[in-house]
Amino acid sequence: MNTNLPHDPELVRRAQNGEAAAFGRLVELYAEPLWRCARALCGEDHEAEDLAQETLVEAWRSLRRFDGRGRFLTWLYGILRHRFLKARRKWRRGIQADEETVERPSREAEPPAAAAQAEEARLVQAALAALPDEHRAVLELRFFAGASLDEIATLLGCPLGTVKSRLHHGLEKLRRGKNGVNLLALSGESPVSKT
Amino acid sequence: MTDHLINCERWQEPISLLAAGCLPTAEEAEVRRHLAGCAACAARFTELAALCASVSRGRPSAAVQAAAIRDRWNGAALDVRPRRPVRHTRSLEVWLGGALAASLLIAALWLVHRRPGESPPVLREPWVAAGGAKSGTERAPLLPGPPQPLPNAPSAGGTQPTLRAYELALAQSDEAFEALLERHGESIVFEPYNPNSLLQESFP
Repeated sequence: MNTNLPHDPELVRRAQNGEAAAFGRLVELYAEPLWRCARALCGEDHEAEDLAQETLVEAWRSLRRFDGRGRFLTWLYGILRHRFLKARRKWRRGIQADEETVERPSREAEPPAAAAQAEEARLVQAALAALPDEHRAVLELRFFAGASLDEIATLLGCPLGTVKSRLHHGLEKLRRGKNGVNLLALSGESPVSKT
Repeated sequence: MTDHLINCERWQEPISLLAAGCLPTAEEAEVRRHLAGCAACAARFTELAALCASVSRGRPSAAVQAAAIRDRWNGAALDVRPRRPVRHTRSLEVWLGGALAASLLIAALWLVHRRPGESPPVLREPWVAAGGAKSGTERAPLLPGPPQPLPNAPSAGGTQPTLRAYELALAQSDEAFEALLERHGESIVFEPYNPNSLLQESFP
């Protein structure tokens, strides 16, 4: 998860002094979690890529505003949320993503193990996609992007208690398999209680 | 099952958070104690933990997108310049200048109005000095002219009778008063303010 990401204040400081190479290194470190968060927010791959890119550009331009008190990634999340809200207003004006672009790149050439993993990923994504957006976003941010509950609250702009509640209800819906995808079958578990 | 639903309702969310790996450490021990004593919650926790592991494993690869973002950044880095830090000196100067001007204005007002040990100036009305209040229509100019000699006692020794002279003439008779008026008109010269003389006249 995100705790594996190195927190390098020196790298950030060098970038703040205008060293583009240092920020390039930060981009390498944070591009993937940033894309995952963007994907969880907007639910679409290409839009997420644009969103992550815009976030990095904005971060580079306003890097001196980062005071180093929190995690650099959390600061990026704040920018990401701001960019997401702006982009959502634009999308609502009629620029809708093409549904076909949600498909992943071709996996025809993947080896069997990778194909099995890809199949599991496809099922998980299908199960998550069937959830209400507010539950899907929390689960993706938690399990795909590795964001903490506080970071999820920042990204979604909602109270911590709401994040906990959505996480609980989202997991409960997945467990009950009411969205048509039984993820417990993937893990070999059989539902023992339907409370 | 019904008892489980009723008794374990409060444990549902903490158990979900524990399975998702985001329950605060301080609460974890309490939840685990409950799981040790409740088979239904323990079974639910097992399912949720397996589910969370499955979701974590099933996260899509982001290598392609991350690489694309890095490439796009490398292409854009030369075109994007970081913003200069915001300068606060100008606004600070404006604030300091305003505060200084306000201080000077307050100090000037304070100096103008401050007269230590001195009471505000009071204009003494001359008819008070002359021996009694008069109606508004009879009021003479606030600043009396120089004292002039009156011919009759108790005049001030000049040619004009004093107010006291008119009062004495009126007390004597109406004719004397009229005669005095005819002789000197209505011009009355007020005596200079002298509280002692006023007291002596009022209480002889």
